[in-house]
Amino acid sequence: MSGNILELKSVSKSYGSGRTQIEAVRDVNLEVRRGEIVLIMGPSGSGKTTMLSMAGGLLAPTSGEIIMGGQPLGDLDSRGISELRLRHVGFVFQAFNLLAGLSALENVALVMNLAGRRDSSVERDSKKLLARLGLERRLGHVPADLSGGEKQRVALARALANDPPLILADEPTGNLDSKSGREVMDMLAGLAREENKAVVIVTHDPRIVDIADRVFWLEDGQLSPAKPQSIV
Amino acid sequence: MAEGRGDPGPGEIVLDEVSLQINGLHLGDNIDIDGQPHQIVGASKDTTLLVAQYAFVDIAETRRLLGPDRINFLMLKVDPAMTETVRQQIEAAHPELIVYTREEFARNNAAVISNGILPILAVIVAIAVVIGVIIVGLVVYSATVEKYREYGVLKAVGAGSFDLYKIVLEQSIISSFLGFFAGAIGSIGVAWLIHKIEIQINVVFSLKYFASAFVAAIFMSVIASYIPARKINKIDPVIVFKA
Ligand SMILES: Nc1ncnc2c1ncn2[C@@H]1O[C@H](COP(=O)(O)OP(=O)(O)OP(=O)(O)O)[C@@H](O)[C@H]1O
Ligand SMILES: [Mg+2]
Repeated sequence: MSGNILELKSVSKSYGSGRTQIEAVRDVNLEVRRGEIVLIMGPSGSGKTTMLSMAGGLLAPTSGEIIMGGQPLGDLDSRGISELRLRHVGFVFQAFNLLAGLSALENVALVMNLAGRRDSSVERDSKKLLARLGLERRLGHVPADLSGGEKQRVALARALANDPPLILADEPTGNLDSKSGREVMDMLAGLAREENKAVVIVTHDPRIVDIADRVFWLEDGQLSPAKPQSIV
Repeated sequence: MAEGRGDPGPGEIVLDEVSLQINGLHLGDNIDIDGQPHQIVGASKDTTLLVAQYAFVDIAETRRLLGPDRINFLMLKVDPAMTETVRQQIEAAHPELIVYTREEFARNNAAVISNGILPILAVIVAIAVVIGVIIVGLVVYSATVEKYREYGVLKAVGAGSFDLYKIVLEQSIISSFLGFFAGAIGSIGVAWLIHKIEIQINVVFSLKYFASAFVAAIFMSVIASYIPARKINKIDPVIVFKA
């Protein structure tokens, strides 16, 4: 075993066909290990979301291979991939994507339920997780009654609910003001280091560069190690 | 016979027990037939033809009152062993008459019901099932479309198709059951009204009917969730990345 949580091996993705074909991601190679935070930056339309969708098994690459926890995704059917997503990956989105009808606590408990956990430990663990993110007084609030930063912290708790080794985040500060964006990123970084998780964050927010161990630059679908001057 | 005598003489009448119940009458009461008082001397049983009940009166008196041409059929009580002989004798003496035995008569009545009314009821039931499926389907479908993105989120975080079908089926069953209970309460209410305003229909409720309606509701839920489930199956979880 390579010890990598996530590997992208010469992964490409093109949308459409013929004259309207777009090559959104071109021949990308990336390895992510436990305990490291990787940042992928790049201008709008450079293929960041496309790349992250493929890394999370939500989108199949046109060519190349994605290996998650030693398991090539190409060998799995859609059921196997969602099963792997449930236990292996936690997602954080720009738009939070909490379920509007459920409280903070229920949003977190739900993904534990999906993983087959039904006992009383679900509520206990959800509460514990939300408390670690400073939300012990927001357990019963529905998303509409939470601030943006609080919503993103609930989403972070949900991403961590099944204790996955890998966290994938797409523009997690995109809908937040700089102060709460900073707060959420510090919490994510802190938890990831404490729990030795692998984190990939896609962003064009240069203010969060300092939490990363490695920074990559994606432009026109091509990934390269970031040059310091391109960050600022 | 349910009660009393089965051989009404002049000035007497035997009514079906359902007529008695519907009209709040009892043995010994007097009712007017063509302006003539008749005393109820008996209550017959199983003499209801769907929504009408037979009444039994003295033949000689009726002929006198109504005139001979207004009788279109009459019933004879015969020794069961003599049925065929009596029938042949009547047919020989009155070729213009049609003679039915008790069994033939019962079969004819049953045929009137099953040929005339059951097909109509069957069509009504079929239409009701189709409408039920459509309504439950639409309720679940619109709930699905409204929560389109949330289903996408569930898919993205790793919910399997089966988890999502369960949610759809649950909603479908809940809405069918709400419909079932509303329908059950409604039908009991209508039956009460029918009884109250004295429409002469005998409404029979049995657990069996409610049970079959319940089973039909479950069946309809499953059918109704088919299209919403397919819709969910097609959701591309990548929508979660759209802001
Ligand atoms: N479903 C799709 N069909 C066709 N083209 C697509 C599709 N999704 C993305 N693209 C195109 O692929 C390219 C990369 O898109 P992507 O969303 O990955 O970029 P991004 O780096 O995430 O951009 P942003 O910073 O604006 O979110 C863009 O040119 C986009 O228009
Ligand atoms: Mg994007």
